[in-house]
Amino acid sequence: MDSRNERVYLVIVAGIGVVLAVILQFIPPYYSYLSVIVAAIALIFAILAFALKDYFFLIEPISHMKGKTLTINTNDPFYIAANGKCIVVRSEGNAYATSFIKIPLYKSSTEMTDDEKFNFASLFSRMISLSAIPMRVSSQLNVVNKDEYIKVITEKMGAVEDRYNAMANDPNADRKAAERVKGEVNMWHNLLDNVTKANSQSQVAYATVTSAGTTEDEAVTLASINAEQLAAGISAALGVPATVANGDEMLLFIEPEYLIPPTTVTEFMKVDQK
Amino acid sequence: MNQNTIVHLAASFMIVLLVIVGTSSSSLGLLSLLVIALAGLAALLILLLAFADFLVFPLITILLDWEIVPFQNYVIPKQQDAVLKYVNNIYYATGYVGANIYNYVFAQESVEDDQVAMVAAPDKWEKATMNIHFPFKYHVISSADNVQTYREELETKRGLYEFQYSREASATSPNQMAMENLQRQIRVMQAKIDRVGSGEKPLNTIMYIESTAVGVSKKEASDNLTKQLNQLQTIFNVFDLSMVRVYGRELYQLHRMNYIIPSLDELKAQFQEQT
Repeated sequence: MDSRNERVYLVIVAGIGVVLAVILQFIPPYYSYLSVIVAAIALIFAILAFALKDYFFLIEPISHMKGKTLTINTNDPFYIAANGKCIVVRSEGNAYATSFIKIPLYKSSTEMTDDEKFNFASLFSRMISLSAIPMRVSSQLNVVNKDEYIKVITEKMGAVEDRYNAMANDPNADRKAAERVKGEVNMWHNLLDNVTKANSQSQVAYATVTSAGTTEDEAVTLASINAEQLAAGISAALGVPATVANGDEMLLFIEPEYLIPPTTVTEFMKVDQK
Repeated sequence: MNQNTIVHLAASFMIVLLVIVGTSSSSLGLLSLLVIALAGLAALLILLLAFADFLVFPLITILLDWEIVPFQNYVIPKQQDAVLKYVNNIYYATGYVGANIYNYVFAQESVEDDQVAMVAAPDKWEKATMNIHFPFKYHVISSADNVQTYREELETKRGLYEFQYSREASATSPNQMAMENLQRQIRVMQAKIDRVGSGEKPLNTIMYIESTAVGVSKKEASDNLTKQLNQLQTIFNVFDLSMVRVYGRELYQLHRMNYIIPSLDELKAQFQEQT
C-alpha cells in the first residue's frame, strides 16, 4: 500500500471536512436546513477520513465501479518467474517475488520418546525464529492427485479387455488362458474402483518468503537468495533436506484446484457429504 | 494502536468536534439536537471502524449488494466470508480462521509448564489432524525481533514498575491491591527477561487456518466451507488458541498472503482484531 498517497488523500478528505465544519459556524440561523446538510456532509468526510486507513485500496476500484461488482484487479494474481523458482506479483509499481521451501517431515510423534518430542518442538520453535523478515511456515493437508495413477490403470485395463475380447472371439483360443485374462480384467476393474472410491490425503510442510524489488529481476534474485538461505537454515535446524519448490510444485501451495484435484473432486464431494 | 491509526482518528474526531462546536454556537434550536445526534452516530461509526471493521464492512456490502473481485477468476461474495474460485465447473470456496495463542498475562510465566506443553504438542497435533478429512492449511507467520532492543524495552518497563512500586510503598497510605499488581507485573517482566537471557528469541507471530471446500454452486461451496471451518475450530480447541472466523478486509488480505507475505510494519497495521 502506498502510504504517501494515503496521506495525500487523508489531507484532502480531512481538509474538506474541516472547511465544511468551519463554514457551519458562519451560516446564518435562518438557513437552518442548510446547516444540517453541511454538518451531515462534514460528518461523512470525517468517517471517510478514518476509513481511508484500512480501505484506501478500494478508492480507485470504487471510482471505476460498474454495476454491483467491485473489481480490485482484473489480472491473474501471479505468474511464475522465468527461473521457475518463485511467483511474481506486480503491485503499485513494485515487483514482489515469493518462494516456497518444501520441508520434508516424515517422522510421526508415535515413533518419538518424550525427549525427542521436546527436542522436536524446541527445534520447530528455533526454525520459526530463523528469519528477521516475515516468513510463513505452513502445514497443509491436501487430497492426493491420482490422475496419473488412474490413467495408467485405465490404459492397462483397456489393453487387457482388448486381449480378452480377441480371445473370446477366437474359437481356437485356449479356454484356460481366456479365463486367466478375464480374471485380470476383473482385477483391474476392482483396483480402479478402490482407487477412485478412497479419498487419499497427504500432509506437507512448507515455508514461504517474499522479497520486494523495483524490477522483476531484482525481486526474483533477492527471493532466490533469501529462499536458499532459509532452506539451509531449516535443513540445519530440523535435520531434513529442505528444498526450494520449482515450477508447478508451487501451485499445490497456492491454487485451490490443486488442493482438491479435478479428477478426485466428485469422489471427494461424495465422501464429504456422508 | 499504531501511529497511523492515531493520525486518522485525530483527523476524524477533529471534524466531529468542529461540527458539534459549530452547531452549539449557532441558534438552530431543535435542529442542533439532530446535528449533535448525527455527530454522535458518526463518532460511533468511526470507533466501530477502528475496533470492529469486520462487522461494519460486510454489513455495507450486504446492504449495497456488492461482490468484490480481488483477482481474475476470484470473487468475494457480499457476506465477505469466503474467496470463491470457479474452475472446471466447480466452485472452490476458501475461508480463514484466526488461530492465535491466547494473550494471557500469567502471574509468573513458568518454564516447566512450557516444557510439558512442548512434549505434548506433537501428539496433540497428530491426534487433531488425523481426524480431518478435508483440505486445510495451518499457517504461522513469524518474524524474529532484535534481542537487544526487546531486552532493553523489557528492562525499561520493569524499571518503570519498580519506580511506581517504590512510590506506592513510600506513600502515607499505600494501596495494597495496586502494590500486589505492580509486584506481579515486575515478576512477569523478570520472567520474560530471564527467558531472553536463556536463549529464547522474541518473535512476532500471526497464526491462522485456511480451508477450501467445493460445491456445484456458490452457496453449496460456502456452506461446505462453513461446516469445515466449524469442524476445524472444534478440533483445534485442544490447543490453547483463540479461534475467530475471519470476515471482511482481513479475509482479502489473508488471501493476498498466498502470493505476497507483507513486511512486518504492514502486518502490524493490517491485522488487529480478528487475526
